[in-house]
Amino acid sequence: MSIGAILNTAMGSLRANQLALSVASNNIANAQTPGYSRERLITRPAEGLGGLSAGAGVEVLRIQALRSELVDTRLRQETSQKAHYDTLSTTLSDIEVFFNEGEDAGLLLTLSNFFNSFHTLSTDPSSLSFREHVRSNAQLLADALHTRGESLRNIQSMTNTAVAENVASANALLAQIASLTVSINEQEVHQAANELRDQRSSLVRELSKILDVRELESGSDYHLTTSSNRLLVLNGTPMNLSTGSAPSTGFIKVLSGQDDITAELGAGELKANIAIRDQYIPQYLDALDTLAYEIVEEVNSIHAAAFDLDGGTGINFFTPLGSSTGAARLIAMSAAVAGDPRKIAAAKDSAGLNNLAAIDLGNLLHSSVFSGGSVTQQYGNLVFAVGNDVASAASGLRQHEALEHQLEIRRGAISGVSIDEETLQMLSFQRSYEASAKVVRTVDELLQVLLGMGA
Amino acid sequence: MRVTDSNAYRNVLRDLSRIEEKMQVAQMQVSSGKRVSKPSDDPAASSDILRLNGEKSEAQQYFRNIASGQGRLEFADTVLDNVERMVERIRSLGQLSMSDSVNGSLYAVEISGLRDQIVSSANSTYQGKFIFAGSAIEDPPYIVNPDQSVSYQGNTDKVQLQISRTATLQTQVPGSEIFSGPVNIFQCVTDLLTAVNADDQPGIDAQLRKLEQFYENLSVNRSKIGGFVNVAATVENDLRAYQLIRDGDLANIESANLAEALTAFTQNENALKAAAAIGARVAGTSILDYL
Repeated sequence: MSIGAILNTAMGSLRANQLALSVASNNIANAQTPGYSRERLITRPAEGLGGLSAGAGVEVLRIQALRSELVDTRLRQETSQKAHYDTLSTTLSDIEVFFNEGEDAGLLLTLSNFFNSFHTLSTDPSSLSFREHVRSNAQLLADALHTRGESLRNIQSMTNTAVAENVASANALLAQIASLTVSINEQEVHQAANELRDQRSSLVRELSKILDVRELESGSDYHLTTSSNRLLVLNGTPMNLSTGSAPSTGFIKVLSGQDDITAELGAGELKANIAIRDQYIPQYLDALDTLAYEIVEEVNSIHAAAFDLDGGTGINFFTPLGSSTGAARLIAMSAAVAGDPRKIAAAKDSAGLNNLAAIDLGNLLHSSVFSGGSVTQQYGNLVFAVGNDVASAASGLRQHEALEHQLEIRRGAISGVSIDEETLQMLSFQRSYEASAKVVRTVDELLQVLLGMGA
Repeated sequence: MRVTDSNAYRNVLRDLSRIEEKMQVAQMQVSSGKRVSKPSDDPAASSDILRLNGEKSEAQQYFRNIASGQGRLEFADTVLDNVERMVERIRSLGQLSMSDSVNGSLYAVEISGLRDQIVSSANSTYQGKFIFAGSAIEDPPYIVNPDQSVSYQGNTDKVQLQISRTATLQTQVPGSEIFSGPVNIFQCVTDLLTAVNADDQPGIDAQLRKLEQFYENLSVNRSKIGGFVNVAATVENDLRAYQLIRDGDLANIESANLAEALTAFTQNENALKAAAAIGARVAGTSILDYL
């Protein structure tokens, strides 16, 4: 083995250790960068060339990023789930506010005040101020139902807007993922595109918040699909989602190509928003509308058969509604009652003197004539449903947050940077580098000896 | 398992935020005194609370109805007590006139004055409404006609109020059952006047017997009214008892256990301190300190 070969070996070692130092430096620099996977310089002993060879030093193979596809995939799924329950829990909590019932505020109070005002009227049906009391409580009840109906509709239309925003954000991410895929393919002709892959992985995780996606890679083929196998990215081409308007509701539907995929989406913000818009809110609105409608029907049926202060009869207390659709929004006192408190029918005698109808109207508060039992029970069922939905969304959120955390820890253990570890590696590469430099100096001295021989 | 720097921070952060969340729950329970402040805190409990609060406001209306009915009944009783005393006086005046025919005209003047007072008692109002008019409470039930006869304008309704889910309370007895009932007191007194003026002893005697009947009927009605007041008091007591039970139930369901909440708060406060201290130590240890 020639002296030149020793020098070459030492040079190779200097280069390899320097490269290893720069890998460690890069790891330390990115220790807190989200989505970064730590890297390792992969080397092996170079083969010597025949004869009694001492080996040809170190050979640098590649820089490898340490990551686990399995953990990454599961982490993405949990990210989708967590974002799903997060959106559900946040929006449903906003809705819950309207069903917060206290001793001194809430729909229940308005309801009982309304029916109680008929009992107060029964103590003196001739009193105009008691009649006024009934009217103002009826107005408060109508307002309370309107507010809740309107608020639910507002939140519904806000989630509808959120669906469109989700689709736009998803499309923006799809474009970036596709263009990164092109770059990765170009770069990987020469070497591993670790950083680009980290970037793409972060973007896919970002996309997972919006919708549950599946990544499929074999060789240079890269597919990104929804959980129901709709293509989102095919190699370097993004297959954007689009939106249309659903004919029956006027709400936004999500399209992949020509196909409506609104109903088949997996977990994620998008699905959560659709669920709130199409399931949760319509269910609450239905319950509220039914309540309002049955109040109108029950009150009217007693009121129309009774007699007002002037002996008039057949008057509706509330404007009659054809069906429960939109009843919470439409409930209103009839023009007759709203215009003249004398038209409130409290009596069952044609002279309009006694208080028997007022008593019957007041007793509606606890009569089991409503579809859910009494009016309080029926409203209680709705409050229970809302509370239960919020509580299960919150518990789903907690559960998936914990799972995501566990997986983050798993991912951190595999791909995360340990400063202590890198520092020690750095020390050992530094020593190797120093030793290699010493080898160069030694070879230099050997050469000096050889050159001195000739002088 | 490899321990990496970001994992150490991640764990500390998660523990801190979890503990802070628990502290917030405990803090809210302590400051509001309530375990359930929104439906999702306990959905089943919140629908129970709703039912109990509904019953509470229903009961409060019944209390108002009872108070209104009791006021009316007690007022009616006071009026009838007065009437009773006037009738008593008329009776003694009638008896006096039988033994003392000289002063008959004097007695007649007083009897006539008492008759007018009974008419005005029968037209008594409570809070501006006539209490012996049945349900026609807007107009005076008794009208004195030009010929001095008195006629009843009210109706025979016995006004009732709902004072619990199952009980009603009669709050008014129509004048037709008291003043112009089995014995028409006004006719009777007028006839007595005529008899006194004419010094018609058998006539006076006949009217005094009628007066006796009226007196009995009046007593019956007064005991009826007393009975109604008792019913109201009994129902009110029952409602108060239910109210206590309901308040107890509400407190059980809704109220926070302060001792528990405070203990939880303190425990979590300690945990938070410990986690923060450990977190600082994790960040503080590094091999770099020893190189």
